[in-house]
Amino acid sequence: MAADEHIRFRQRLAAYAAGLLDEGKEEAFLEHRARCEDCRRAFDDFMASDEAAPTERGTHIPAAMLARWSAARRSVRGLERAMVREHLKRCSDCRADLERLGETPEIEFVAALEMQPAPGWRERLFGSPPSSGAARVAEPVKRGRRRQAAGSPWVPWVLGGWATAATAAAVILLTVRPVPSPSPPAPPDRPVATGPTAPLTLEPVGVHARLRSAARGPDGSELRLVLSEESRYLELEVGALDLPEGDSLRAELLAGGVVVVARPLPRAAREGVRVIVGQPHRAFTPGQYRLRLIARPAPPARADTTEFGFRVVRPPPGTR
Amino acid sequence: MESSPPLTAERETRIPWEEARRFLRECIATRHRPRDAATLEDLTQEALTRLLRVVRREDVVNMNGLMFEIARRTWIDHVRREKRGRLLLQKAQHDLDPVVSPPDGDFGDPLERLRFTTLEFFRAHRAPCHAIAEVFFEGQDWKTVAIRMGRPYTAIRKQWSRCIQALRVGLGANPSWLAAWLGDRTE
Repeated sequence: MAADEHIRFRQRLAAYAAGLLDEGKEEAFLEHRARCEDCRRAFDDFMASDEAAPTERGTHIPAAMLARWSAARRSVRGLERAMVREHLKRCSDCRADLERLGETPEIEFVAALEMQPAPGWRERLFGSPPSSGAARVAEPVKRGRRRQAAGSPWVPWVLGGWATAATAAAVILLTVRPVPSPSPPAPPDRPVATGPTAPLTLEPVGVHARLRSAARGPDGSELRLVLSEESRYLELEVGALDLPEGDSLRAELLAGGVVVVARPLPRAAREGVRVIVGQPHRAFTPGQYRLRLIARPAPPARADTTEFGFRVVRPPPGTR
Repeated sequence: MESSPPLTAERETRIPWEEARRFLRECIATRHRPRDAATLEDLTQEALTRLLRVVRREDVVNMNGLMFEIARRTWIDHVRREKRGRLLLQKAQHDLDPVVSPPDGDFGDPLERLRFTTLEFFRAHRAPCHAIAEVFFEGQDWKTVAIRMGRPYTAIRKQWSRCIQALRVGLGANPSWLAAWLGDRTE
């Protein structure tokens, strides 16, 4: 029996255990196991203890990784890093675990550790544009036209948003202006940097804890706003964005999953701009809202969207 | 720590976590004797993470018993990781190199990390592969998976082959321990 066969058998142990051998290779693997006593023993050793201590079967970030988070977040790389990041965005349990352990539930964008996809890998994989954002995490940002996709015209591009956000830090400065009178004037064309600011709490969506700092929260594309006073509009300061030429940008404010106000942001937003989002004839009542920043490719490009990550900072003293 | 009344996920915050950490640390240190202090700290933190997860989803009647069992299982997992590492990372008899590339850091059983990445990859792409992977990772063989999903065995296997191919393509441009663990290094 050739030495290569034993080595290949050992190489395939993990793939077999995870069900990641195709039928032909699995057949060869099992044939070798039947013929070779040493390899059969190695196989039994490798597979046996799963029964004694069942794991979570891959449904959450392994507990051992969370336990060593400060080291893991600096060294996990490639597809695994992208998938840990994706999982953290949607799994409030894993985020809560990390917070309970005193860790920050984020995994930074480190260029040297991120996926480096081959050009056109998505087409080879799917033969068509992806139906979700995760496929795009590995794809370089394309400028210009994109292909038309079926389905919802506003598909959130969450993971893509994260990847993009890392290179296109958008900073949003939020101030909330209280209603000054029963018949207030329309929002000013230009923001006014003085006057009272309503008490405001900003929380990343999905995490029931306040942002501890100005750093981007676990969900970079949406933020929860808690308005404690009636307010008429929000003043947003959008930092520079790496938007493809022709793409449009808009901000949405949602209450209970319903968009209560949406407004396009000017083209100048890509260079950074201050805008007002609000309702001229109706004040926002106190309560919880969610804020989204969405980029949409220009027609006739495909009608999905990019949600940019952003961070929220409190107005510097003296500017209120 | 005294036995607690039934705890639900909402009561998570009522658990004295520092006390729980000390209890778990003591269990691991005295019963299993890790080789050094760093390993003990890592395993304690890992056990605490597991305790958190259990408390969040289940009622706990006997807290001490639960922590004792979690400490034991955490230790078994640790031993299993080391055993699997020896099987795959040691130099093979006829080869100068390790059988596969070592994982990036000791952040859990590489097999569990492989499963996690696979599941998450398929979930992120919303591929039907995710449903198959979930059932298979529950510990089912392919025939059972086919029955559970109400589809012919050959159809499931064929679809799964395409899923694996997709995963390989996803990993293709990222030579890493994950790619090596898929078993194609010498091909």
